[in-house]
Amino acid sequence: MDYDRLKAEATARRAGQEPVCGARGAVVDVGAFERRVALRNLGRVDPGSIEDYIVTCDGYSGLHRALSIGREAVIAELEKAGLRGRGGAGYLTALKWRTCREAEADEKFVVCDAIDAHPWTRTAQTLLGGDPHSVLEGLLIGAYAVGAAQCFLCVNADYREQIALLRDALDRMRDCGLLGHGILSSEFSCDVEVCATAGSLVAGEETALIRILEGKQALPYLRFEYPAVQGLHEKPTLVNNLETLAVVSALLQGRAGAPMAGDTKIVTICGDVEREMTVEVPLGMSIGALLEAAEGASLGELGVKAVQFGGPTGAFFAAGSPASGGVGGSLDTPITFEHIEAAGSVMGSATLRVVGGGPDGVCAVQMARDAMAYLQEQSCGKCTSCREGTLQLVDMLDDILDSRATAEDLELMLELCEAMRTGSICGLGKNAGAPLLSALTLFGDDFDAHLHDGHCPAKE
Amino acid sequence: MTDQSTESTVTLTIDGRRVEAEAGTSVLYAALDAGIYVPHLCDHPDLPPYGVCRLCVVEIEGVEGLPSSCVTPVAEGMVVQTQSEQITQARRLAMELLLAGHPVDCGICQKYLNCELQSLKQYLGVEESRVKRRSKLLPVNNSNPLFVYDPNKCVLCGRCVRACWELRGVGVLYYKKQGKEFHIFTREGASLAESGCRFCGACAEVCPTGAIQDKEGLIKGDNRKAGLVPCKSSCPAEIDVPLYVRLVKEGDYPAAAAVIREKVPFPWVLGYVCDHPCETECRRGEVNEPISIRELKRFAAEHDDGSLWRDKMTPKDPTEKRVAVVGSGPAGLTAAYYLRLQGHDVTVFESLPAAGGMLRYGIPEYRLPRSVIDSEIKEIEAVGVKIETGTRVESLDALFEQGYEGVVVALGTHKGQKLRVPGANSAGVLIGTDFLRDVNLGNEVAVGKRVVVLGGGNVAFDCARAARRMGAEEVNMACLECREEMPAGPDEIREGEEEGIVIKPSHTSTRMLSEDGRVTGVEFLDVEAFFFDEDGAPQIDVVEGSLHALEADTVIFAIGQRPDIPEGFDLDKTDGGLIELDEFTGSTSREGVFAAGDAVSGTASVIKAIASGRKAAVAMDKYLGGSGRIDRKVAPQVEVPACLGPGPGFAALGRAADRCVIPDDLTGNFCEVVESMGEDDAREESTRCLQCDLRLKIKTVDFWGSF
Repeated sequence: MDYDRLKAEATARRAGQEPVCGARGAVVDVGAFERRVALRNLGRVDPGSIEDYIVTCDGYSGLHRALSIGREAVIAELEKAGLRGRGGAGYLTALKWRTCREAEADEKFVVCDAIDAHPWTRTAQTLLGGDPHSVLEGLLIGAYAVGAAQCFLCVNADYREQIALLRDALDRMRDCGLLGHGILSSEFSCDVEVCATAGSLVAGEETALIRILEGKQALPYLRFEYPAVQGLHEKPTLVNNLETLAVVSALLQGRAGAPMAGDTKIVTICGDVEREMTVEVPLGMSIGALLEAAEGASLGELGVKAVQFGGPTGAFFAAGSPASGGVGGSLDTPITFEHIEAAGSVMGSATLRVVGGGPDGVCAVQMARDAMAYLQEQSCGKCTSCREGTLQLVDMLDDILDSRATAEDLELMLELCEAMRTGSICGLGKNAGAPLLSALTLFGDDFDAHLHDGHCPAKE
Repeated sequence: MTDQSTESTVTLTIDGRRVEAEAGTSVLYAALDAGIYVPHLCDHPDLPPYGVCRLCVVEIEGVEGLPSSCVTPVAEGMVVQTQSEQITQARRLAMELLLAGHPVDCGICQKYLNCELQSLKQYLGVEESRVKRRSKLLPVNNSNPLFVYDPNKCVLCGRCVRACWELRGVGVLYYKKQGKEFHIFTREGASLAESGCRFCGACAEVCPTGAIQDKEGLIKGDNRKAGLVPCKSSCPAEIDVPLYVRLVKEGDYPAAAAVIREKVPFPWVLGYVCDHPCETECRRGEVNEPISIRELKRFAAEHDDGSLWRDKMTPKDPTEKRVAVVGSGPAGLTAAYYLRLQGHDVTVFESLPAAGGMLRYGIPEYRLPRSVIDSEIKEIEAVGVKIETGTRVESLDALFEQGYEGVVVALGTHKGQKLRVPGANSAGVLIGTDFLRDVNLGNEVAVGKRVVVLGGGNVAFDCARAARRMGAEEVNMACLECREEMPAGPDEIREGEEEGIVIKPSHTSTRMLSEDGRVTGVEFLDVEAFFFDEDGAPQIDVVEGSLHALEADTVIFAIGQRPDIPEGFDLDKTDGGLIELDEFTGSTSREGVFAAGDAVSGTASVIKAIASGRKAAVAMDKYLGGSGRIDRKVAPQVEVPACLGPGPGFAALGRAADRCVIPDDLTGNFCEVVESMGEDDAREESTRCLQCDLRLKIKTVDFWGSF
């Protein structure tokens, strides 16, 4: 079936449908501060209707265009748009795709990470629940561009509703000739499998995700080649986050808008806030400004002590301007890959976890301890530095809380953070020290109160 | 690993030394190969690099931080430092972290002095710890067969997990968390057997600490490597059991037979009657039941076309030396065969009408068909061994006078005995060996309807079961031992009972009852305890007042045998009447005279007789100026893949069903009672093998002391 007939038939079928619009995940009104690219159809499309997607959202016109302009031209478009991977590392998507396309192999795969491995992220839940087809379209464009015939869409196993929606969507796609042999009457053949994947922090590491698909334990591995060259079953494998793929379909549909599609990011605001929400914002907005705009209140009113940005391994950001060079930053830090990295942190899942209670409402040692305890719990146990480091650090932070620690302990803590950074294979271990180090930078007084004065500043 | 082709060589500098290494080699191995020690724990030469322990960190010019040398490939012009203040500090911290949850008391660990962690700790001199030490207090898992896992000693190096997944492809072991502590366990916490473990032992072999160990007592003997493959090390003839079992599995039966042929000239006979110490020791027996090794040997022999060994097992150039062998049993013929292959001119003298010794005149035909003996003796004759039957040798001098330069005495233990109890000389009281010889010679044997056999070994069963076939309707077997300690093999006991033999264990006979000089029964006392005292003399405690009798018209003594050595041999003997051998030369008290088999060891087994024959051949060959190297590689060399693949259900695979078929009417029926194994059964049985020998291929890690 070619694209024109697909559209015609969809139009005919849609006439008989009662559209059920709105995201099946969290429904959010579009805020004035938002700019939606990946989430462009959220709330405007019936996620259960492929016809709605085709007719009202130019659905699969991006794939149609990709098939007509050819593989290299697709990659060139991504390159021109400067699209960076939305999984958190910000690697240039076009480079990754080209590497995979140029890798010689009898078989290639595309893996889509839709796990929401970070506990506070709602990207996959929102996107798959509200607009699964823009992800699926991007997935097919990726498969076409690199030359893969099999895609795996790894969805957090807890997202049952989304998984059901996706499986149904895949059936519809098969009916419409969008999956299987000769897609849209082209030479391109491809299939997609939905894999319900147990969510955990390490599952977000691509080497671990590949292991899961191979039926092995979710452990990150040191890689000597990019997965794009040697990935799943040792074959070239394109691993992309679903947010990236939703942007890809927007780009190819010509719907990304000006100036460039690479300039937004889906973020989730959570923690001590009135409303938890998942929104898409232009890069460059500061953490504080976003928080104020989204929550409709000033930082003071919100009672923010700190914001942990980027997920469980993200650094804390707080009011004021901390000394440069250390880990952690000010709430004025603009949300861009460069600025976040400069603050010793990572874009990661771009979550804003608000620690409330105002500047003195909660002890920063406790804050750091809780962050470390979560990482200890999530450590896969493989790297000595991370496994033992997080455990020892939780223990030492408990000592500080109980005012049993000394300045020498603090020195060892710094050494352990450095050992984790240099001695761990994956991002979890490498960045595990960031919450603690940023807490030290931002709230040194809280630590001093415990270490020297033997009392907790939050309990005054 | 890298873009460079594997053929190219890379030059780098390590600690100021110019070092060459194959491209793709890690910096760690480039250093180790150059004799520069770099401490390392998680790395293992047979496993993919891992990079988690951080002990092997080095400095590399132009590289930030301290990379792990095990996961850093060499590069042209690379400049590496393996020692510095910063490196030492990082390694010490890494070691402190590894030791944080590890027990302190090395002295009480089985792995003491063989522990890589202990060695590394000494190398790094980590005695004090800045990080907090703790006891994990996790329970030791002793619930699986063969292995013990102590999670407290585990430092999570991941070697076992990699061995399980990546070396063996089995995929059973996982990192698991219990509270805050990690340990290695099966996915769902099920037993190894339920999880698809193949019990290959790779995990225990690569474990650098005492965390995974073989269960105590399972590895016998001083030689650990031999102890790991007990089927092979327990075989008196050292047959490479795992190899031929593997070849059966692969369907290469002639190759399997060739492996057996490398060590013994009687594969087929052994396939029927070997007492298989290998099966007793087989590690699979710890999982469920041992491999049916003997049946597989028989299967291999039955499917052998001789194509792989017959051309190669031919005599060397003639040495012009003549050797006489006295006795044509398995010991004598084995010695004769190997001496003939060494190029000597060998003649075997046998007093009975046909060759085979106890194979033919002791073991009844239902256990060992005559055609099997004939076929294997034919192969021995085919290489040029001459056998003179019906020729009794009375004097060794006579043989030397005839020009023989050496004599192997292997005349077995054919002289049976009776207990010295009243009535033992009554008519109808027989000696087991004589009885069996008569039966096997086809002589007329007068067996009554009610028979009592005295003895509890395999010969006693041969007598009892032969008696059933000679027309006895009721056969009782009485022995001193309690049932559990009867010396006969379990197969014999089971089959004997199926044939209607009634076993009376813990019985001691006090006299033969008789009437008119003919035996009418045996009087017994029950045995309370039977044991050997400090001097090795048998002691019997009887139950007071337990006197009772069994009626019998025939009584057969099967209570042990001695060699019948002609006076003219003039050989020194032991107190037990056996031929005395020099411990070192294997020679008898007379120059040029060697001995083998039961006459040396006392009544033993076919496989021991063969092993003894091999030893005598070696000793004799050396005496005659040969090399004494009688082994020849005739089986094809096969590359054994290290990968086993997943093993769901493997542990539960049961031993091949018993193929014993007892005829309804035993009288006069000497047909074989155990059927051949079919091809499907043999292949299936061989797949049950744990392949313990694969473990020996795993490399050992050199400790720093060897650098």
